Amino acid sequence: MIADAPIVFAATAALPGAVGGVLLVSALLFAIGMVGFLTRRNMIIMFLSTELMFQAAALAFIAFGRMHLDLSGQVMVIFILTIAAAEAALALGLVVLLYRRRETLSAEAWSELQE
Amino acid sequence: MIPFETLYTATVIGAVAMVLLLKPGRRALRLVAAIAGLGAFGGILVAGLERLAPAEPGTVLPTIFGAIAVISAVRMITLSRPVLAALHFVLVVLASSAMFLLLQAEFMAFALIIVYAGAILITYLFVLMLARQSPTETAEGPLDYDSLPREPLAACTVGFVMLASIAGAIVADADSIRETTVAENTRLTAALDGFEDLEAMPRLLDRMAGEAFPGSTGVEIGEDGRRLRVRELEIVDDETGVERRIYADATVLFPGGEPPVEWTLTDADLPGNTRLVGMKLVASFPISLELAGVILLMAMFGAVVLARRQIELGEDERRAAAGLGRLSVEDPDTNSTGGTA
Repeated sequence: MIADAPIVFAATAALPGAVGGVLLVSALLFAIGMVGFLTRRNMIIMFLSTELMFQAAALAFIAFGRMHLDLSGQVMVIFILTIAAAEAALALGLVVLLYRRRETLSAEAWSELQE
Repeated sequence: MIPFETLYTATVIGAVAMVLLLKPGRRALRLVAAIAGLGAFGGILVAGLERLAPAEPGTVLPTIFGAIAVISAVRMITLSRPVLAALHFVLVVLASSAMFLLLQAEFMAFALIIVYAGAILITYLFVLMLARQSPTETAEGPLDYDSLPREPLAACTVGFVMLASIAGAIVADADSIRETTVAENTRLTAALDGFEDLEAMPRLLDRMAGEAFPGSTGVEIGEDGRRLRVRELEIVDDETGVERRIYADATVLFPGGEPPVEWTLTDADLPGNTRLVGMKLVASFPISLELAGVILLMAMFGAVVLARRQIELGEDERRAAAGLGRLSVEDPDTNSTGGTA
């Protein structure tokens, strides 16, 4: 009945490194997503870059949740997924609508909104 | 102070490499930029982890998956073909779900693969395919707006200044991150939390008792209203010294006059990640859950309204839809096709 397990989780010895590494990776992914949103001119890739930023936020939530041993971080990721799905549906609907008007995916086709 | 210098130097190198990668240029230059970018990634991780986890193993796997995620993300925003960008985002999602697994968020890892890689990315690919029938697309190369970046220098400055400040904040708080992580994650804390969660799931407890003792009717509720009596056990170990473990006792009832049985639960009996996340979601965030449903419904309506084709109805069609008679006195055949302008 009494297993000879150590006082901490097996992974805990490596845990601060894992949490810190994932936090740094999430900061990197967020920065790359932001650069992508600012530089790319294809509307679909711009929205894909926002998904990358969502992903980075989700990683940070999971890492901080693990750090405090609290499941709220994981629950928050469920809501991030919900918002990402809603955003994808709306953004892609918008992209399809804009593509039908101008026959191009370039965001610069809409730099002067006149209609 | 040295970690900060390494960190900021690596960030600047990364920003320069990113600018070079974004601009379409010669292969050799892009290769040099890619190598410099990899070096910058390594520098940021080394500078960060030097304070976060000095002399600790176990940073190997997060580094590998982090490298996969970051390289795929950079290729996602530098490749000119949109379909390749979408496929590289799938790689980012897979690498992040591996990192979720490393942080013991098993349910969210697989939900991420199903929802992101499976559903959202397929929608993106659908729209990409839909928009690729453009007459301006040439066979020999990508379009202008896909290959030329917009203000790469300014964007990289903004993005990497932000990266430097976030990473600097993480490194500056490295000591408290490390201490909190170690302090919160002892087996004792985890087991205490787990038994508390199990206490909140009485029907699961009854079912587990039924599996352990066939024919039982459930777990007795104690005098204090609790089903589990948590106790701490000290085990003297020759090598590591005194080891403290948490157990919980419960009394299992049987129908008829059979005497109740004492049942000891170990931390192997604790509920798993999926059960715990579900419990937390429903018990602590019920209103947010309802709001998420409303948001999804509204997004569905919004997408349908945005993407449908606009058909202008004439006066007669509108009156017909409202159940009114026609306005015109002419022959109905000449008017029935009107209003398609």
